[in-house]
Amino acid sequence: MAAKSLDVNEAKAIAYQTLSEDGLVDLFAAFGLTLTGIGWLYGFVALSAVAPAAMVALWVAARARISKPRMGSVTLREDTQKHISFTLLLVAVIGALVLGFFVYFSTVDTDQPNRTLQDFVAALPTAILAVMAIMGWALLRSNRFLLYALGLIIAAAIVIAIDAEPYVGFFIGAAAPLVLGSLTLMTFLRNNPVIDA
Amino acid sequence: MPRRAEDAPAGLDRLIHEPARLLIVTHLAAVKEADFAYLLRQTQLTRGNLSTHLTKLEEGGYVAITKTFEGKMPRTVAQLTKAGKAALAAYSKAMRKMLP
Repeated sequence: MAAKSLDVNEAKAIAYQTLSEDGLVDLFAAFGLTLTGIGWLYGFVALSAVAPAAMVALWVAARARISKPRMGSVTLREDTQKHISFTLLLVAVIGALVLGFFVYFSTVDTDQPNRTLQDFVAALPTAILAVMAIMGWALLRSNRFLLYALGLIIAAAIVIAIDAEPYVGFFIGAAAPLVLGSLTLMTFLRNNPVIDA
Repeated sequence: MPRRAEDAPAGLDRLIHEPARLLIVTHLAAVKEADFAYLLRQTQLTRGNLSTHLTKLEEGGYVAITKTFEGKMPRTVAQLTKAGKAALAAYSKAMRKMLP
């Protein structure tokens, strides 16, 4: 159970943590990454474009069904909501950049000379996702997202090292949020029975 | 109106000074609004205690309670009023003055 708090800042942090303490955001981020990677692998641009938005909708639905009966619901203050909206806008812009790279890579001839530069470019979408994970950490104040950023940076390095396609970075980067998200969700479900309010 | 700050010892507002109500008000000050289940989980009060304290805070004009239905399930949402925010600020100021 959550600890008692008599400090407004601590109470704010507790309210903020309700966004990520169930692990669902991690899981849906992992699903989104995997689906985007699959779309990239098989050339389904539409899947890569739709997956992030679909995951957000599913995350909201899953929270209403799984988390809300266990932790109740809270509406954050308007200043906090504005901060979240601004960060989400930035994340969306960065997401659009990733999609742009996807479209670029689906049309470019990878057998061109100047291969070294292309190897680095292949790792760029994963590196951009690492930046998004850092923004996720700043937004959700969950240290797990720093770990995901580190995982994505390692994934980008692997893409360069083994001369892989960009989607490989997505699959490697999805592993950490998938595992940690599942563990966090299991812990959350075990420690938080449905509240009969 | 219920007991106010001027009635309490050392200028403290008794309505907020009670630990359980202070806990509720603090959690409500951190958010726009929260439902009964959220407050129940965060304060770890019993349903009856939480309900009683919310009613007292509502009677004092510090908290606004809205009761709605989500499907067939009743839902109680609490929000700190302007008077509640002012009372918490005044209480915090009084406590800081009092403590070394």
